[in-house]
Amino acid sequence: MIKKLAFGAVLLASTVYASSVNIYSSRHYDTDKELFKKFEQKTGIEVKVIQAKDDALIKRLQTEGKNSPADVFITVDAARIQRATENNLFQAIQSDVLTSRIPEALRDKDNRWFAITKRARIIAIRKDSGFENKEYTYEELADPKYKGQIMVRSASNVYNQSLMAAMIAHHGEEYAKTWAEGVVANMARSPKGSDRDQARGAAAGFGSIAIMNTYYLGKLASGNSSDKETVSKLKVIFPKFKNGGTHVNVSAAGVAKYAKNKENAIKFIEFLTSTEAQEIFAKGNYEYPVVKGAGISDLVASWGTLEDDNISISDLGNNNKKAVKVFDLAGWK
Amino acid sequence: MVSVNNFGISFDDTLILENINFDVNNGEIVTLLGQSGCGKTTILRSIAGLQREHEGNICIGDVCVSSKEIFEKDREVGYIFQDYALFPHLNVEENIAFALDKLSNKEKEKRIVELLEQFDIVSHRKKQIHQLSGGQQQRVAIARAMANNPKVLLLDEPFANLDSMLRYKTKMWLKNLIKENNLSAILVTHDKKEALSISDKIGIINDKKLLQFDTTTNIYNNPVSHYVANFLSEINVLSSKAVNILSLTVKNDELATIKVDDTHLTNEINNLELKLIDSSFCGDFYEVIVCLKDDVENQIHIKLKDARVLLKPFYLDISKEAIKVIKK
Amino acid sequence: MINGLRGLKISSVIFTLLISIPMITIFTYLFIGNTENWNHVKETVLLDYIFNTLYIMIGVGLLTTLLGFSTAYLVSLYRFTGSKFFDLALVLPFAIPTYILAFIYNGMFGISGNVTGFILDLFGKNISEVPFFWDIQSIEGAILVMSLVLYPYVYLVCRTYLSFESSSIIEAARTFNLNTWQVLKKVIIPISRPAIIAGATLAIMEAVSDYGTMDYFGVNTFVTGIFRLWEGMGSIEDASKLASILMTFVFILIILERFQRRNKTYKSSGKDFRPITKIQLKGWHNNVAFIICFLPFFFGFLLPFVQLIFWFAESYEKIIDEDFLELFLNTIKLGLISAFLITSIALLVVYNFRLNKDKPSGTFVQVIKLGYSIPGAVVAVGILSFFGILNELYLKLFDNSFLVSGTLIAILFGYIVRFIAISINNFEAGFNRIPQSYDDAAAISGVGNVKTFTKVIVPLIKNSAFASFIVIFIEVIKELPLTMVLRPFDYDTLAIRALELNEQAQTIESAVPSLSIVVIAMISVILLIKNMKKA
Repeated sequence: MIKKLAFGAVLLASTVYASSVNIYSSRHYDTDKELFKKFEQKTGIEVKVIQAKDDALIKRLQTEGKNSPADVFITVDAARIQRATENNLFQAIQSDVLTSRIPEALRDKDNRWFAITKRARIIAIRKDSGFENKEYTYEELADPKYKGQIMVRSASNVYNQSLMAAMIAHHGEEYAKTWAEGVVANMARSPKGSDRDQARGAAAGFGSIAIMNTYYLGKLASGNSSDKETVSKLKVIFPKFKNGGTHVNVSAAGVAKYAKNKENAIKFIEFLTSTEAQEIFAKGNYEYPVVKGAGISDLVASWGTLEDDNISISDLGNNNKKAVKVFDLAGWK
Repeated sequence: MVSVNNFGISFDDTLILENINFDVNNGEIVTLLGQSGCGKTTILRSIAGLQREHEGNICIGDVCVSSKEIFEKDREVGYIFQDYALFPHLNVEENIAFALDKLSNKEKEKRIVELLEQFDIVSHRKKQIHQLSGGQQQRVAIARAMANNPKVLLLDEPFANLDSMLRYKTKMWLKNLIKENNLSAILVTHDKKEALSISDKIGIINDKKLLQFDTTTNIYNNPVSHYVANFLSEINVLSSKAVNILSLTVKNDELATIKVDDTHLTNEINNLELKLIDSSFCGDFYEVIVCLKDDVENQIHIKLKDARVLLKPFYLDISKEAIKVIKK
Repeated sequence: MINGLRGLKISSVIFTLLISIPMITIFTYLFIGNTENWNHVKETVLLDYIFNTLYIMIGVGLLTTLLGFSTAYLVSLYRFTGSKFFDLALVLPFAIPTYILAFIYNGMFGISGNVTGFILDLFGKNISEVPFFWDIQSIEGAILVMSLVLYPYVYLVCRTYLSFESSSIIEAARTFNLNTWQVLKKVIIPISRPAIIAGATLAIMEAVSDYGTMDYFGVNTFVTGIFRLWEGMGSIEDASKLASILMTFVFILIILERFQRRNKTYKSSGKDFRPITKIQLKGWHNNVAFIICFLPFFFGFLLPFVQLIFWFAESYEKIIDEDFLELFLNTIKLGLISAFLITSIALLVVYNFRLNKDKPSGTFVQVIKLGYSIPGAVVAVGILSFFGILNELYLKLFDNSFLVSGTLIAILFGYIVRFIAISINNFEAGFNRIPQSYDDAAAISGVGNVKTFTKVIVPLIKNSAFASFIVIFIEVIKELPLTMVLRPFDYDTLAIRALELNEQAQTIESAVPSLSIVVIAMISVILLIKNMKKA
């Protein structure tokens, strides 16, 4: 109640902006802040952001229900997008701009959400380990010849879960379980730490093949001296699925179900998919754009060419629960 | 035989005791008397080795230890704590046998049975400590202390937790034990009645010093100062007026005293006429407070058997031999 | 006058009920049927959780006993180089939350740790070339790290016991001609057993409750499982079910501890608890004693503290900004409000028992105290479940949401349930030292209840209130799992920030919030010790 009153008071008090749009976002990057400002300058619509972790935001939206002030919800990873959709946190909209710009696999079939950036889950292999001079499939990571080489984070992490969801989508649960068991047998140590820790470990000589997101490679490359040294010791390889491409995951934005500023919300999301905005994401944050024609940073380009896998984000989301179960059954902690 | 020589001790730069000297022979019972906190327990603990840092030295038998010397393991001392300090996790038998590990099982058993019988606690052998009464606990504590045949027995307020009946019995029994075993025993108490009845020698401690150390009779009859005298028995101090009337020679640093028990009343006229201040009935006697006429500040205490003497003018009845002039 | 008393009693009843809510809610889940999710959990990871949790309980119990008792023994009964200093310094690890020590040690001794790197460089080797590398991010590492921070529980309890409550028993043992080892083995250890177990139980319960360390070191326990079910699978019901099993474990532990403690107050029966006379150590004895006390202090506090300072210096410019200051203030606000609220409620409940002295009032106190043993995550899930149920009802009745769970109310509720036992213990001890005759004297003089309270009780109970306030303040700013679940939207604390930065592999930057927590806690600990000396 108090929040409502306060919000109302703030609304009344804001004389500078004619209208506003409220964003709930789990992304916490400077590029985003920059984009919000640009949007404000361009349109005169004030951008108010509440930033928190995905699960907290989802719960919050659920709890707030009709009272929620959210206009736009931005979340990261296929499974969370799926959860938000299942919980009716988005509403379907009409936007030719969005449907024409964003590939089908990267948006909801009912136009409830749209991808705004993309990341790939790849492998970074220590140079001179002997393993770095070839192409890889995800499937072969279970091969015993890589015993003791694989560094990967815990199964409780959503990025791994989406990768597993992709494996299930390609080959079914039985195969996925066997594959997971194979990978577990190849792990240099039981999973712990973040993607960056896997890279650091592999560079230091703990195992040699680190499974990680492209984004974190970028973070390491711009980090302190020991992180930069870590990156210099690793070679980036884009694995592919046997009958597909490299696994990608997205951040997505959608209009909140009970949005009070629907028009502004649509404008905002359309802005995020403009070439200008897409390039800011890509060049400022080591991500890939989702819109054709937008460029990427030199650093990211230097890692190799990305060919997206052919599984849609929705399918990845749908398989998430199965993925979690497969991890448990296979003993991937 | 225990010998305390030039003993002194300080805690945190505060001097507690200095220049304490006394000896305790075999078979002798010595009591250290003094107010609470005067340091008498500290002397006991130092003899036991619980307090290692002190001035002077302590000799037990032929062995002397001074401060900071290596821990003398075999002081052969038995110590009875005020709260008995029985080990709560062990039963009676185990408490008694605590220090008997060096003996073989057979010898240990024999000794335990001996002690149980000697101290009349046979039926309590397997009991837990908290199941015993105060008196029983004390006997167990003493049995434990005696188990290894110590030469010295140290007791901290042994009568404090006992009622008067038990106190009397324990006193006699303790005396026997010490004499029979020819121990050097040192007691610490603030109860002068017990001290007088059980001790061969008494030491009075006050103001950091050992004021007097002497046989019981001597210290009772010839107290070296007013404090000592007052500690052991009830004393009347004769005022300067009384001293003048009686023509006594009393120097500036001295007092003329007489025991209350030696102070009587009479109706026979003499030059010490008295006025009544107060009287109360105490069962066996009347406690009466009087003073010389025109000498109200100096009260004289009397224990009166027959109160009728107060019905007529009454006078102080004392014999000059009973008057003791002692240092203040 | 009578109304005041009744009012006190009624409020006590209300508080007791309120505080039992999370426990009751969780408890009911023991009996609710199994969902498909739950069956899956049962078949795959439940055994893991049980085994790991037991392993941790035993490991932490043993290690904290070793560290806590040995140091308490030395400091209480002997004088040696630095013994006065260690007396206080050994408590300092209490200022470091378990998960922060985990971050620091991983950042130093982990596979990409700075010390590890330094040593490897020294020998010009690569990690893969080293025949044996002990990975600190393991369950053994978690046990070690947590024990270094939790041993003060055992230390404090044993220290108090040995110094004050057992002096004549120990001195009696000394008068027999036994050497130090014999006295230790035959008397000191046996009589200290209840104290050791009480302290170790506290440490074990803290360890079982931990989330940050376990998650970071990849150890799967009940608590990480609860979070996984709640966050990942979004199922509060399944999380509650897991929580109910953990709660059962904890209750069994409590019952065992109380059982072994029955009849066994090993106190000197003397009324004056005179502190024991310490023996001066010399030569190599002195040196060994010094080392035994120095090691836990060094590894549990000094080393991590110094490392934090270095990392802080490296990264504070990047991290300290407006948002951080808001975070900082949030944390302090939360700590102060909770400490005040909890201290007040506890005072009310304990004072009620003192005035009313009936069995129910005593039961209230006992029930409320149980909250401490329940892991923070379980409390949080219980509260969330409860509010979820309320929300459902509210939704049905008013077709709208019940906005409590995202507010300060929920998290304060959680802290109350979790920490009020500390305050109650403090007040119980404090009130024990105030003879009933004071209350009676005031009553006879015709002074009303309220005046008696303000003019007589409050001045005398000041010390306990202060101690309670400080300890709860420290616990709240260190707290992690409960805060993670129940905090208001937009409300982050230093602890959460530290965890987040570490999760993003920014250990060095995480030193900024971490050091803030440690410094605040350290100052509070020192204030507390000063206050205790005064009392």
